[in-house]
Amino acid sequence: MSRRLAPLLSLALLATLTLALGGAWAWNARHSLAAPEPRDEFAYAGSTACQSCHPDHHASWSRTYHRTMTQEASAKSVQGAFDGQIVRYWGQPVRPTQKDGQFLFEYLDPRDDSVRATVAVARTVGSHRYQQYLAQGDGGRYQRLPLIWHQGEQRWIHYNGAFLYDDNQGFDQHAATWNPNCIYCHNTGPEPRITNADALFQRLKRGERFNYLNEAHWDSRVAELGIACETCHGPGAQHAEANRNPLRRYWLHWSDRADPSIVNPRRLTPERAAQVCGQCHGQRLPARPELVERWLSRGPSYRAGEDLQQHVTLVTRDTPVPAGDPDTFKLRFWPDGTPRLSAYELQGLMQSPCYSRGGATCIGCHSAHGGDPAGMITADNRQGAACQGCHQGIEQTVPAHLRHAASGATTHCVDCHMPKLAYGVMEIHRSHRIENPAPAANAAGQRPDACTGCHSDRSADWAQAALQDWNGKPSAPTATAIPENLRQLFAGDPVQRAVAARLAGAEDAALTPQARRAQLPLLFAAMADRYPAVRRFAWLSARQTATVLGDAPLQQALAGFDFIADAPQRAQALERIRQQFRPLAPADSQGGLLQADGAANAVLIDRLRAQADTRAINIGE
Amino acid sequence: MSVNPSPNTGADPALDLAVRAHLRYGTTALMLFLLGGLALEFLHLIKAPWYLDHHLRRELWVLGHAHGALLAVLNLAWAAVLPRLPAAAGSGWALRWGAALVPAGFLLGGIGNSESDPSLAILATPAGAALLLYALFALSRAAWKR
Repeated sequence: MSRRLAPLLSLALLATLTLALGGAWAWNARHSLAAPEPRDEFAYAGSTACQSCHPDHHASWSRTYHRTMTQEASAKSVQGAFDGQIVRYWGQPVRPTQKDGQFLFEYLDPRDDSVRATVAVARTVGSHRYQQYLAQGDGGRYQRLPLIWHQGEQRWIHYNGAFLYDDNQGFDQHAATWNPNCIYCHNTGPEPRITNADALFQRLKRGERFNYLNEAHWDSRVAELGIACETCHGPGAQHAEANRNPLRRYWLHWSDRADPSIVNPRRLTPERAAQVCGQCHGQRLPARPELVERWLSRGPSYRAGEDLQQHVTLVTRDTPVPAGDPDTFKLRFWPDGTPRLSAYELQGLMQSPCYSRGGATCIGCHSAHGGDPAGMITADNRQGAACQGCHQGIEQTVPAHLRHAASGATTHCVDCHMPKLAYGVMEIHRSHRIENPAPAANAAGQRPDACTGCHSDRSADWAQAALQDWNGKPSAPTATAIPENLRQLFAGDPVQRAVAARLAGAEDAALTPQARRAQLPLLFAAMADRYPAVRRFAWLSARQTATVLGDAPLQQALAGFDFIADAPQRAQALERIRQQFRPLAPADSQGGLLQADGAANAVLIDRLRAQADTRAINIGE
Repeated sequence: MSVNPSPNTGADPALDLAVRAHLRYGTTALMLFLLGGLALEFLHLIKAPWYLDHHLRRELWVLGHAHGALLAVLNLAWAAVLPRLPAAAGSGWALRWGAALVPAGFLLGGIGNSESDPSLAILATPAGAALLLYALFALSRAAWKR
């Protein structure tokens, strides 16, 4: 071969190889985009696989509490103080401790604190508000343990204090099995994989009665612990494989068309986008009985981008309860159908005109890749900036908006149109039913309202009259009516009382320091409620009030109150608190709830309490 | 220190021109890419988010700076060895173009890039790499030539 020919031939060979490779890529790209393969609902790749191509999105998701929703127990993941200090609740002493790198709960004999049983923590659930702990049991079962670590208050809390039940509970009242429950919404690609379903079914057919949670065996798997990329974008193994082809990637960049191998919620219709979040933030049941078996074996059939309602029935106030208390679902909603627990955000949104008429969807305000990880929302959107997209300038045209602004009050869209009225994870959350305040109608309907929640020392009549006055239809308020929030604090059911207790001392409540101070005796009365959750919120509000007033001795006395301590201990602490506080003659008797000397009117409070619905609320957490 | 820009290349003016071309490119590019390095450090200094927070852009620009400086040095080395391997002088253009295209691809690929891929300007990099390969092949061949 001549010396001149060799380089030319080499070049030709290189060019041919390049063309062949490019041609193959081009054919593959065209084919995979024109006729995409059906998505494999179980082909998960894991977030690490996503990271190499999407490092920024991976990093922004990594900041969220979604990522750390479920973790293997380790020094890095465990937040609780496993320091050997004994905690005693509901008569059972427990010592959280560590040994050989393991995190342990030692269950002690109440008589002499000797160790009766030791349980090792296998996994953690949650990392934002509080952290639950799971132990691994027989038959592949993960069992939720009764003590939880409250991150905000940096203390152990018994689960009985986190639910809406009264004090009459057992130590293991809220024992739960992770495999057919928590696994679904706290992980990616959950598969409970029950292994003895047929045997259990035969026993049921023979008429045996047993607790299936104790008898079932599991071989549970998840694609990834925690809520990762593929929960919202769908299984990504095919997407990762297809996009090894550079021509396919560049073609998608140029054309700006959607990649059929993956789901981008921002390209979905508002309804479908909301359903991506709603697969967990919208409590639901399998859509058809035959799907129950599927849920217990390979997990829920819904994948991001699909029509959620083809797979599930969203729980509403009127949804029939498959087993147990027929009012279970009814009690999870306010009488007008508005959800009053967290994890029903989709149902709330779907009741909103902003959704049905304006196409509002979750990602209009929230983002897994931006803003504050708590709530996954930017500071602007937290104050209602997203509303401006459709309602630009409305702050200058509606009388209520102008009046609030003129009074110097700092109110945001969400304060009035998404009031705090939903209980969940030991906090009161904003309603996701975006609506206008209607104080009189909401009071009649036994639910909180934005006006009377913020102006918690005012009656519903007062709020209604103010609204009518602003709209040019003046009416006379009833001067003696009991403030609606305080009425619900005593006469409401457990959710009403919890919401009212929280709002009574909320940092952003429209209350003067004098009005806050006047309410303290009523908050002390609420700290003797039969429901631990109500007591805690009343205590938080009293503490907030003491802080606003700068009353250090009262703050100190309040610090000695434990809402889940034994009744005698609580009574003692409450007595010390009351002794520390000297009421003043109130400017307003709060509809008779305060006596002339500023003390709480126990007779009226008892009368209101007699009206209260005392049923526990099964919140399904 | 005095530098003789016309090393002893004998009486071959063509070779002398070739050496001078590599010296010009090498010294100028080295200065520019060192200035580029200073610019990158400055972006760290002012914590420029459009640089620091874009992993791919950051990586591409660092690669562009490093390759540019290294290939500038390669041109200087080429100029030093060329008098002993005059047969490679004809492929010097490929070395200079390759030394320019490789970093240019990296630097421009980091502008208008997506999260996962450089912009299309990155195509300059493999083209430049091919030219570099060709030049080094010619140099190697000249070295083996008796």
